[in-house]
Amino acid sequence: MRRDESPLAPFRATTDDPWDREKAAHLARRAGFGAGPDELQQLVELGPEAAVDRYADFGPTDPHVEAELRSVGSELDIAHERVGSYGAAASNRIRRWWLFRMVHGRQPLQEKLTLFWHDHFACQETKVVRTRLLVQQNELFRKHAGGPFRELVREVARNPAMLVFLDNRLSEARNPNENWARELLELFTLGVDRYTQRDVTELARVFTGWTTPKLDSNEFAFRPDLHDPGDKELFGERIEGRAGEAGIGEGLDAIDRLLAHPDCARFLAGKLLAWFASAQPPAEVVDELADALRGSDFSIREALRTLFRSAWFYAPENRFALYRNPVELVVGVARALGLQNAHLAELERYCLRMGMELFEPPSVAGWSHGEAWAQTGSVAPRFDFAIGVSQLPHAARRVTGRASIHLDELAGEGLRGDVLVPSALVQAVAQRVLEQPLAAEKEQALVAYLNEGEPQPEDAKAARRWRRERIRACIHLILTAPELAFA
Amino acid sequence: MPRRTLNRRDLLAGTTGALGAAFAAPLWAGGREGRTAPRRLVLLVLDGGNDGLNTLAPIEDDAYHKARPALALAAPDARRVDELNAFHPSLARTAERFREGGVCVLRGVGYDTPNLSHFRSMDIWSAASLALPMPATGWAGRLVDAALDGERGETPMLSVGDVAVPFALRASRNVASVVPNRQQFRVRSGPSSSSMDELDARRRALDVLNGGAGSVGDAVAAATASSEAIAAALERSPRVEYPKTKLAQDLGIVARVAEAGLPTRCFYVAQKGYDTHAAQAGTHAELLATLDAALDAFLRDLAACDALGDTLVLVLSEFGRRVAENGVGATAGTDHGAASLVMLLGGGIRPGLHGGQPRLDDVDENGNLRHSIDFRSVYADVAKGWFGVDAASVLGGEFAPAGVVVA
Repeated sequence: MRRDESPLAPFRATTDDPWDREKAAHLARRAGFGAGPDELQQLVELGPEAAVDRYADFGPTDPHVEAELRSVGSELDIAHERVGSYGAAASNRIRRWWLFRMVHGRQPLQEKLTLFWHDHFACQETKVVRTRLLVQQNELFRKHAGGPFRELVREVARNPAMLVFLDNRLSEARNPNENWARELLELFTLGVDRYTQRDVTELARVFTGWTTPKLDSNEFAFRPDLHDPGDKELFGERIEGRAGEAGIGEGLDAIDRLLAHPDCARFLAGKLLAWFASAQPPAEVVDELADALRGSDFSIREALRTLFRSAWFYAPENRFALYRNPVELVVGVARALGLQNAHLAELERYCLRMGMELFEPPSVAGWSHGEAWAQTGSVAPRFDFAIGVSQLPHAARRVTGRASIHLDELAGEGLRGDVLVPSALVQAVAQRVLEQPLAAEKEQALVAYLNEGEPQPEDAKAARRWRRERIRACIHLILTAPELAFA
Repeated sequence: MPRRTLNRRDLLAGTTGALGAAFAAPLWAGGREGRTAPRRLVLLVLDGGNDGLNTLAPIEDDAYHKARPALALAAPDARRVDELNAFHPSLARTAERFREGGVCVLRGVGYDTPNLSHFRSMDIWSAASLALPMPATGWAGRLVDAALDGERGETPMLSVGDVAVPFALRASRNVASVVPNRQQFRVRSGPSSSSMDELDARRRALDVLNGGAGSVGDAVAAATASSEAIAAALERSPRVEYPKTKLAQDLGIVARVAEAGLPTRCFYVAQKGYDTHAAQAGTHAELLATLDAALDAFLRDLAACDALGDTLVLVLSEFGRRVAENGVGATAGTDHGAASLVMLLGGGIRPGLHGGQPRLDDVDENGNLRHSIDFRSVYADVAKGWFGVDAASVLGGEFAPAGVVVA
């Protein structure tokens, strides 16, 4: 990086450092959940700017996935009057509905940001209970996925699931409840130790009366009679107390103060970088992204566009350097393999087993990321996922009613007519799911494994079955590779 | 030196002191006939901030009743342990065990300038450090590394009930294993329909794929190594009937691994849900009842398989809760607090009530109890007294042992 350049100066393709398949794949893994070979080819042809725009310029809804969801019909219908308000069936359905969107959607950055916000403003089903409140919150995250952050925080402050989860619906002038106020400071806007306990108690008073009409309600209510109209002090400055309906203005003022706090943009920039770019970004990159947030009135979309266009983002040390979380891993594999009917592949169960049950983060702080995703507890479920996915039924055409993969197509150059070529098979599958070649000794071990055992039978039908079993075994083994843990 | 194993009868007879000398020396040499099990520590974490004041309540203190008109416990329901203090009514079995000399309660435990964040506080308790940035390893991980003299042990640490490895168990040398539940921890090398030969062939390929792969490969190796031993341990039936709760089932897994004699030094089990900002009375009663029943089954099970004397259970939480309640009637809860109590059960404890009750009329500027004992003093006791390792090197400093473990 040249000294006179900003740390997030745009990437410019040169003959020595072209916009290529590897960079496009990096963008697809980070801004989305990875891409299949056709999509990758398109990204390469678009060039770096337009490829980034394809991710960043998502619309309010994804018409493609909405149509797909309609074609699936009642199994993924999340309208609460048809699912029921709560219970195992409803909670399974909303998980499948969301994973289906991630696997089959065409606005991957929007879905990834929806996941990011779910992790950031983490609410648990066990406490919220009502499925429709969780769906409502999920749609709020999707609608405001690209920011502005100010709008998102305002909406979250009045979101019924959050008002239930952090008890603010019970917070009133006589007995302010600190739960929401503390996490708004610590987890949602500033980070730990950037405020005093006094700020927590004062902010709790600010938000007294922000509630819901009743526990089951999916509406917000401001109750002036429960609001503390006295003056408050946040970060040493007065927030003028207001009685009556005007009292709600105190909360909006407080949110503005939070965003104006020097630590807010940096805190958010650090979190975005940890998800999308690097677990240990240089300080000047954090500052630059924080500036991009401030300069765009906290537009998440524009900040990420700057990041994804930067040369730093594509630096070799940033590639395959982030641990994938289980949802990224499961969805990434599903997309890479061209899985059909993702809602029938039990993806939600694998995510749960790997420790990332959607709508049930371990705490209000969301999930622990980084190496935590590749520790001992993830091994058995990750290996079981590799087995399960490789055992899915084969289908060469579009099917309904079952999840499937196209084994012959996945074999690529490894299947020449009715001859299986082990080394080419290993390379094709590795390229497809790992997006990088395997080390020579690993490739050799897989080829040796594929060369062992019974030879291909004479009978044509039995031979086809034999070939497909080999392809499955190859997919299974490559999905256990540690390389898959990284994006 | 052959060592007698403490059983519940010994504990009840109050002979722990006399046995202390026997415990001090070789860490796990001896043990039961035909088995050499090392001493083990079970960390039982009450996640979310347990209300210590309503766990063991100062029921004769006027300040307590004044601060908590809705939530204060009172006779006759509360289980009195002496003239001034009583356990929550849900802790009936624990109270009985306390009277029999099987429980140690240490009050006034905390650390300087707490910021009342769950996550920061759990990090502090896990790392045994207030420093920032946090150390990379947890205190129990360092403890196990030290107890094993820097060697790699077989299933040296085990976290039960969750997929994630808790921070407290992160170590430099040793890697914690995980059993999220009974069904889902076995590392399989192929589809269940495969022949043994096929599974072996895939295992060989898997080993090459995962060899030398840094931390991911280490995790694969550790999970694979412990998977079969734990599976074998879990084939035995419990010696007592356990409640159906997740906590009880998790502790049942610990008991089976202990009974099987695996050399696991530290176990980690958590019970979630203690963040009772609202509607505390009902929630807390339920949580403590679950804890009480689960602990009781676990301790009886350990005694029945002669493993109680080798097992020290440390019950802790990231903080206590605010002295004053925050609402009225059934919706009343308590916000984040500071100093609180820890409990110790099993082998090696000094039973009874230790540490003074922090004053309720002299709270800190946030309305929270002040601590008189640094939590690392408890850890120092465990490190030195229970495992015989140098506490200062594990804790990164000198902390006077709290005197709750028999040295």
